[in-house]
Amino acid sequence: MPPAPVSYRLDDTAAGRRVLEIAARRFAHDRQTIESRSSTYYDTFDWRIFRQDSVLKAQFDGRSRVLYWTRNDGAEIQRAPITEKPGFVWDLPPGGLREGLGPILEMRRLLPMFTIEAQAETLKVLDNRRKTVARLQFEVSKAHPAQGDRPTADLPVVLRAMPVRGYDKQFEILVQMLQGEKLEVLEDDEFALAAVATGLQPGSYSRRLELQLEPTMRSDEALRFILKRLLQLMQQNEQGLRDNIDSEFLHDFRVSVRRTRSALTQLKGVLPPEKVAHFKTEFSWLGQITGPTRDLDVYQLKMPHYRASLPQPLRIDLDALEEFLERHQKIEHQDLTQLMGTQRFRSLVSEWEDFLEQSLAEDSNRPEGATPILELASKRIWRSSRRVLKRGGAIGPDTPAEALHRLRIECKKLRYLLEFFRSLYPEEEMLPLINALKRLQDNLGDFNDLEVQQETLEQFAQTMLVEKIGTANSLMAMGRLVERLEHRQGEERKIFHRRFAQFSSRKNRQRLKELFKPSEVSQA
Amino acid sequence: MKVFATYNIKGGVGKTATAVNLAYLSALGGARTLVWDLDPQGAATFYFRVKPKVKGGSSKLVRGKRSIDLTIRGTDFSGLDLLPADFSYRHMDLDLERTKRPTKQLARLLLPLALQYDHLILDCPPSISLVSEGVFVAADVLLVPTIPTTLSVRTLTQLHRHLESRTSRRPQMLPFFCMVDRRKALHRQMVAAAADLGMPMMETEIPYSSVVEQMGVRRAPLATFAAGTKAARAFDRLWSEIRERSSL
Repeated sequence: MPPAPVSYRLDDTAAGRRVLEIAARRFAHDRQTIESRSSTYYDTFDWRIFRQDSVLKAQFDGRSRVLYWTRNDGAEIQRAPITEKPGFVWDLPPGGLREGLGPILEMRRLLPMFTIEAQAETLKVLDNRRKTVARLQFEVSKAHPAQGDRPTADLPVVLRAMPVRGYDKQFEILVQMLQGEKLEVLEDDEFALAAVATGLQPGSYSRRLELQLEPTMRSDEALRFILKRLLQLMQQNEQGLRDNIDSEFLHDFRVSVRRTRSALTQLKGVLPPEKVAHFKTEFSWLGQITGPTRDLDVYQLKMPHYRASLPQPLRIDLDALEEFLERHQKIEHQDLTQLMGTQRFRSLVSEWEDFLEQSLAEDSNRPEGATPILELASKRIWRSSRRVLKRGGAIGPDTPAEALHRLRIECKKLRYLLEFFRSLYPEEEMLPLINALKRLQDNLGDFNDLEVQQETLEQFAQTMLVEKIGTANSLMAMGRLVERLEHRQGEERKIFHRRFAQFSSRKNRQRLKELFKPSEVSQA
Repeated sequence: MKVFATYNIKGGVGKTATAVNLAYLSALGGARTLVWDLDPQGAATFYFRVKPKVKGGSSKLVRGKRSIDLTIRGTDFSGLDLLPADFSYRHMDLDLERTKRPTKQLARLLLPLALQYDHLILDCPPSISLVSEGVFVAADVLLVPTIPTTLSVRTLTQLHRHLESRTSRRPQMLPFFCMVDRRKALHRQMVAAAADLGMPMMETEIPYSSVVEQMGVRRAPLATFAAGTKAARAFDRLWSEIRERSSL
């Protein structure tokens, strides 16, 4: 492998010119005229590129626009010439870049982070054939943030020594010369420099709860802390949701709404009941109004799987369904943003914020509020886990599907509790427990989902008939789809017993007992 | 990786000028591009100012005893690399013969390059030989520069028939007229009659031009010293047409 380029930080352009002059006296050379480039860095809202220790930039050099995906150490992973601004992965040109990014980006849209405008002056080091064998360049650049109203920032002037493949020795000589100049080696890459300069915080958004609770915290204090984090998640996703950027803003928003409602219900008595009742109604309303858009998002996301599940010649007949989904998603989303513009929504947010900020003193007389959170959490998790084990254990091969649905709800409650209070217990015990529960939930979720899909697709077909979208063929293809879903639902049902057995293994029961079972003393 | 080859049974028809100019345009468009100068005369290597020397020569390279990776040189242009020629390439036929599957050996050697480059351009020596048979197996697109003269066109027809007769995989053949001198009646006639050849002739033609000959003096692709000239613009159009026709 050829050596990597070396970068140095310079004080100003004068320093750059000085170094280039020194090199010019030392080596046979050729000067290149000043070259400009503009590089826009992209990532998803939840930083999927950054979390892969990589960067994605679209570079325009005045002639061609190329999307580069590189590792943080500068090694190129993939590239592709592009004609349009990057958005969803499926809109990228086919090839290695799209295939590589597919499983990472999934359904998330690429958003511009900042654009770097740079001008470089280059000295080419030549050999006796007047062939370029190394390059020395200094570059002046500015970073323009793509979002928000942050100002443009100057980046440090960078001096770069760049090797040419197959001419390692000459590059070494150049680097040795530079070492003699006592320059400061620049370790940070351009992305890191620009992020600092523009105040962007890579990785700052995560859909994970990331709660750190103290075992001795008062329960009301802990609950408020959890609810504040959930509110923060809702607020972080609100703008992207309104702008319909991709499906995950609404998804994350809804998860936070659901968790909020679950926390209020399951930690009953910790906060004043009359206020809690009001907010529960309001959050339930928020769950309702966001539902239809999410449903359509889900079906849009399922389209590639739907197509793949049908024989090749029938796939094209699903175009009508896709068109139908797109149209209705837009309508539902419009309705949703309208509802989110109402006084009811604004009041909910501001009253909820006020409520969470209120001083603890007001409800300090509630006994549950003063209980140390570890004690309360253990009690509630223990109760919830008993329910899951009891309901799940009662399910046999002939139990009606209804019982699985009820178990799914119980599992969800348990999962939320485990995640709220994860930090209170040893992670090495919590992780296997949560993972086993998650796998069980996936199975129950799929089972339920497959049933709902069958019903919904039939409804869609009815509506499409009324709206005169599609042909007899489209409806037949959808009929085939429903058959496939029914078959898969049967498969999931078979898997259930294995997944439940894994979750309710002796080891996991032991874990539950040790972690959460209230001791006799505190029960008394 | 898409593999192109500039090839003609005849010599002196503009193969190397085509390879060098198209490679430059390819790299300019953002594709990682490699030129392999297969011609022992090393004209492409000369244009790129690289030393025409491969350690161990054709024999080691062809038999996979020397890594292609270590032989590649960066050119003066970013994104454009060269696998240089070596005078020993004149024995490449014999070296291929000694491998297990002589006609497939070149394609095998190229496999490890597929992850490093988007486009590979093989600048081929003239004549039909084991090397050209290997190129027919390895290349996706065969670019055939053709001077519009009776004999050249006859050779082109021969090549077309030869490729059609192949039962195994064959490259997409894209012939085009080059060194076209519109002052010559014969050139005009031959170009006009192109449609009757029954071959997928490209629309773009490269005019006869002294700036193309200048490439040997400047030792650089046309676009770097004669951008905007008729010939340079013709190569631009040629590259666009190739990309269209080979659905790049």
